[in-house]
Parts: sequence; C-alpha cells; structure tokens
Amino acid sequence: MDHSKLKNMIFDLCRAGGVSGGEEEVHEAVRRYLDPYAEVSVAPDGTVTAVLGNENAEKTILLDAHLDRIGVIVTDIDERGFAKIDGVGGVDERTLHDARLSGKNGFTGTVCCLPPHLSDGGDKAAPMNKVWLDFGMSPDEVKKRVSIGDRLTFCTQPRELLGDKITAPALDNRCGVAALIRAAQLIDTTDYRVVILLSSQEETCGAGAKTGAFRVCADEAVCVDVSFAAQPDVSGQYGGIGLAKGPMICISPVLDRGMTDALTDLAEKSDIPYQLEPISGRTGTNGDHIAVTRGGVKTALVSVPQRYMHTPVEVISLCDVENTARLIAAYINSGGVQNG
Amino acid sequence: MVDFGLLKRLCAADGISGDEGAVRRLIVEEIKDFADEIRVDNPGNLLVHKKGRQPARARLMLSAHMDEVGLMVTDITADGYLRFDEVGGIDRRVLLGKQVRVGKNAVCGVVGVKPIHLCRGDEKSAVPEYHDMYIDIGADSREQAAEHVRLGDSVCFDSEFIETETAISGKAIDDRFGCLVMINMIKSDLPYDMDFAFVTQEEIGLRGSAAAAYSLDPDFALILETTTAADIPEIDPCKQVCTLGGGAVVSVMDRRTIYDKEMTALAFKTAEDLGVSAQHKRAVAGGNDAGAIHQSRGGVRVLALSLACRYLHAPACTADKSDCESILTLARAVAEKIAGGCLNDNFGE
Repeated sequence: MDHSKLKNMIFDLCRAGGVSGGEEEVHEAVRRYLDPYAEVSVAPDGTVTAVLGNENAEKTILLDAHLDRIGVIVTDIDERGFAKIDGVGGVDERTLHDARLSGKNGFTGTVCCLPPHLSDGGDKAAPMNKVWLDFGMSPDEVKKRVSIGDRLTFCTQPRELLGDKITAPALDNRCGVAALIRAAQLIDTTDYRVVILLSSQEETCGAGAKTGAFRVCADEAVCVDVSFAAQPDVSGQYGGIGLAKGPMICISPVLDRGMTDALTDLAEKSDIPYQLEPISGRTGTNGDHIAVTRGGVKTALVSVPQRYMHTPVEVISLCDVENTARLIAAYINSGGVQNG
Repeated sequence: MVDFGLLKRLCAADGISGDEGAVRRLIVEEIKDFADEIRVDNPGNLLVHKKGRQPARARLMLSAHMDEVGLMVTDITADGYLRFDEVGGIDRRVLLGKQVRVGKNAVCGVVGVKPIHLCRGDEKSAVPEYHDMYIDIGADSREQAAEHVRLGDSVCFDSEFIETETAISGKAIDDRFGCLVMINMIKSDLPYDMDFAFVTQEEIGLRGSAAAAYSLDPDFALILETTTAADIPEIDPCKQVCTLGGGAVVSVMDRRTIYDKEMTALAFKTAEDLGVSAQHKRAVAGGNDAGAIHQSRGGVRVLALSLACRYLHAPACTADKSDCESILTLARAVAEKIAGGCLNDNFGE
C-alpha cells in the first residue's frame, strides 16, 4: 500500500477520541475505512466486529486490536471551573505538566502547572491526585459544557518525522487497528471465516476482548498491539528492537508455539522483516485473555515496535504497520498452520 | 480592541533569545507604514520612533521583548537523537511528551521519555535531567540528523494558539502580547512623540533592553510584559501572584527592580479614572527589562504593566482576554500622560 494512504488512515484514527469506555468517538472513522471490506457491527460495550473471508469455512480466526486509547476522566469541578481528573489506563504523570487534552465537545483543557519563576524546581512529576485542568472558560461556561465523567485525551496533532516515521498520541493502538484494516484489504481466503475484533477497554481491564472473543468462538486468534523499541533510555531486551525492522513476533508460554513458528516461517519465506519478542510470562496484551476464552483459543501476538508508549508523542514507522498487515494476511491466505 | 488574529501570528513566529529575526521581520511588516523611523541596532533590537501631534514633554521609551524561551541543540548522538539545553528559564517538567520545531526548516521533533511500563519505583515520577533528555526527529544516525539539523539550532515549542470566548492559550504570549500593544500604538495617532523598543534577549538576562535604553536615552520607560499568575488549584493563596481577569498587573517590586512610586500611582489612578481593571503584583517574584532599563546611563524611571499568565514559559501559556483589553487601554493612557509631562515636576518629591 502507498504509505501516504496508510499514514492518512492512521492520522484519522489518531485524531478521533475513544478513551476506554468512550470508544464510540472513533467508530465513525473505523467504519469509514472498514465498511468496504467487511460486515461491520458494534457491540454495546463499544467493541467493533467485522466479518470477512469464507462464511462457511470450518475454521474461524479472530484478529484482535484494541480500539481504546488512554486518557483522563473528569472527577470533580471546582467553583472556579477547574476540573479534577484521574487517569484512564496507564497515563504517565511525567507527560501531564502543561499538556493539552480535549473532549468530544471540542473544548480543550490545559493541565495546571507552575512556571519556573515560582516552582520549587523539583524533579518529580505532580501526582495524579494533584492534577487539575484549566479550560480557559468562565465557571458558568465550564458548568454548561463539562460534566463529571467526561473523558479527555491528548490533542497533540499527528505529524510526520524523517524517513517514514510518524508521531501521534494513540498510535497505541490505532496503528494496530490500521494494520488489521489493511490486512482486511489483503485477505483472500476460503480456509477461514475471519472476524476482526476492535476491542474496547484494553487499557483498563481487557473487557472488550474477553467478552468479544467469547462471542466469536474462534479456533485461532492473532492479537495486534504495539510493543517497545529501543530509545536512548531503553536498554536490555528492547535495546535491540528497532523501528522499520519489521513487526515483533512474540514468543510466550501463553501463546501457541505452532502459530508463532508458522508466522516466523512465513515471514522468512515471504521476505517480510520481523523481530522476535520473547516474554517469559503473560504478554500484557489482549492475547492473555483471548487464549483462555471458552475452552481455549490458539493465539499469536504480533506487535508494531514503538517508542515513547503512552505519551502524547508515540513514534512508529509506517512500514512496520504495512508489514504487520502483510504477515497476518499471508498467514490467513496460506491456510494457517500446515499439518497443525 | 486587541487584534487577537495578529497576536496569533506573532506567537506563531519562532524567536528564541538570540534568534529573533522572524519576529522582527513580522513586526516591521506590520508597522512600516506607520512609523517615522525604524532601525535595528547591533543586538538586534528594533527601535521605532513615532511622531505625535506635538513634541513630547518627557522622553518616553516603551519596551517589550521579542524573544521567547526555548531550547538549543547542543549535540547529536550516534543514533541520531538531539541533545539540548534550555534557552531562558523552563521548568523541564513541561518538556516530556511535547512536540517541537527544530532549526530554520522547522524540522518536527518530539521530546521522548522512557515508557512508564519499563520504569521501576521512583523512576515513574522522576523527570530526567536536561543532559538525559533528547529530541527524536526520526533520524536513524548522526549523519542523517546532520542533514537536517545543526548544532546551535533553535528549538521552539510546537503549540497551537487557542482562543476561547474568554481566554487565549499558546506559546510565546510572553512577550508577543507586549509587542502587540506597542504595534497597536504605533499604528494609531499619538498626541506626543514616543520611542518604542522591541528588544532581544530578555529571557537570558535582560540584554537587549540595556543597549536599547542606552541608545534611546529616555527619562521614563514603560515596560509591557507578562507575569506569572499561579491562581490555580493546589497552590497556597499566599503564593498566588496575580489573578486572571483581575486586570492589568502593576508591579511595585520584583527580583530585578523597585518601581517608580509616582508612576505606579499614576497607573492605578489612570485605571480608576478610565474604569479599567488593574491589580497589584502580589509577590516579589520574577523580573523584566525594567531591571536593565532603570539602571541605564544616569537612571530611568520605570513602570511595568503586565498581563497575568498561567503556565508562563511553557507551550500552553494561558491569559484572559479582558485583561488584554485592560492593558491595551491603560498602557496608551499612561504613556500619553507621561509623554505629556504629567510627572515632570515631581521628580524627587
């Protein structure tokens, strides 16, 4: 795929809201891209299901990517119109000072902080229970437009960096969603009924994947998420993972060895670059839940390498998204695990 | 009325201390048809003389600084990341997770941080020192980065100017707002001659204004600035310096200057006469170009009128629109009175 089309799709997905529990804000953007390729439906919890492939096939494969993004929720509003907030998902307090967040009604809140002239010069981020939002509106206007329970998320605009790298908030996991939409375009199979599950609430508890996978009754599943790439302050296991070096195929006790091996073999055969991500326990993704749904689902995990996860400036490489889609489509189009 | 469209354009121009050219060009473009004399001195100050309907009875210099705080590229790593240091005072806690523009070509970059998932214990809330921070422009190597960025390149916040019904928010309101007030005055008909100094390098130690004050040799100076409000939750009221919506902020004393008593009194009296809101700066904090100007040559009498701002020196500095109007009205009225000689006789009283 032309990377500029892929980029535009990812940017559209990242500009939409959809903090955990409020995924309806991204449904329009998802449907715009997915409707031409699949039968799309939406569950009451905000999870999107898209069915394609051979309706009568013996095998069903579930392709999961979580649809939600991290953000904050308004927990109180004071008499001057400042809003108290708490994190939804793993919000990084270090990125909140002077951050701008927006809600679905179009208003923008700035996280209160002190200027250097008055601050204690400390080097600790303010704890979440001391974080307030300033809407730049009169108290009356705030009362009219903001309610307790409103969700906001980073409104940092998506941008291109050098090479084919891009930066945006919510690339976790809108780039995974984009990879599955792109895979839907590439899938051509009679062997599988394919169900794409864009699941809600991964960042909080995984409810969308747990209940969605229950409804789908899949034989196999491939989960797509983001994982860590090398950056100046990351060393050790992830110090060797690079952007633009291919999707990360996870090897974990909770994942199916046969599927994992088949994916690496296919990548070798199809000249798709890949990187291995060994995790010695649970993966911290929806794959953990899906693998033990009902009587168990054979599950694999493919991740897009990413820098600065859960910040407003997550960075990925577009070619890794395209190769993730190619790898998953190749797996399905070739009939899955042979002799398995 | 404040032209918030022009303020947006002024704030969008990138001009950290020592690199104010883009701001200066924009201002020259705005005022060139209205000023009687425009010159740029060696430190890069833009000195503008505007003739009034009659000669001034006292030499008045109005001053606002063109520069903004930002960062400078100090090194490029082998992996293509940019190391940087601050230009002017920035609380580095506002930097993590922000987008920036680097160099003349405005290369997009981001200030990265170790993912929270990989942090242990105290690391989760600890903000790295400057020498451990970095900007990612997407380069894979020092060589690739060097094709787009040079050591010493200026780095500015990439921050949209947002206007609501009551507030404005964005980078560089400190002190493009002061520049805007002076532009507004230069474009208008003035009763007396006045000098306007759009100065450089305020944020790194009031450097441009010292030279400007020497050259203009005024009797009085009116500094148009922004100041720290801190009227936000979790902050003890005794630390709150001024209030958004409280009107023009008049300084009595800050870390750099003890202000002229008659000028301060004149500001409040004029505000009262005009029905314009004004408030005291309620702490001895910060400082501005008055610190350099009042010690110029044989001494200059100074007054500062400031816009109360939250989140000063950060990408989303926020101010109140009615305060902007108050300052615009008050600055003009006070300037006219001073240039008209209303304080000429009571020096030393």
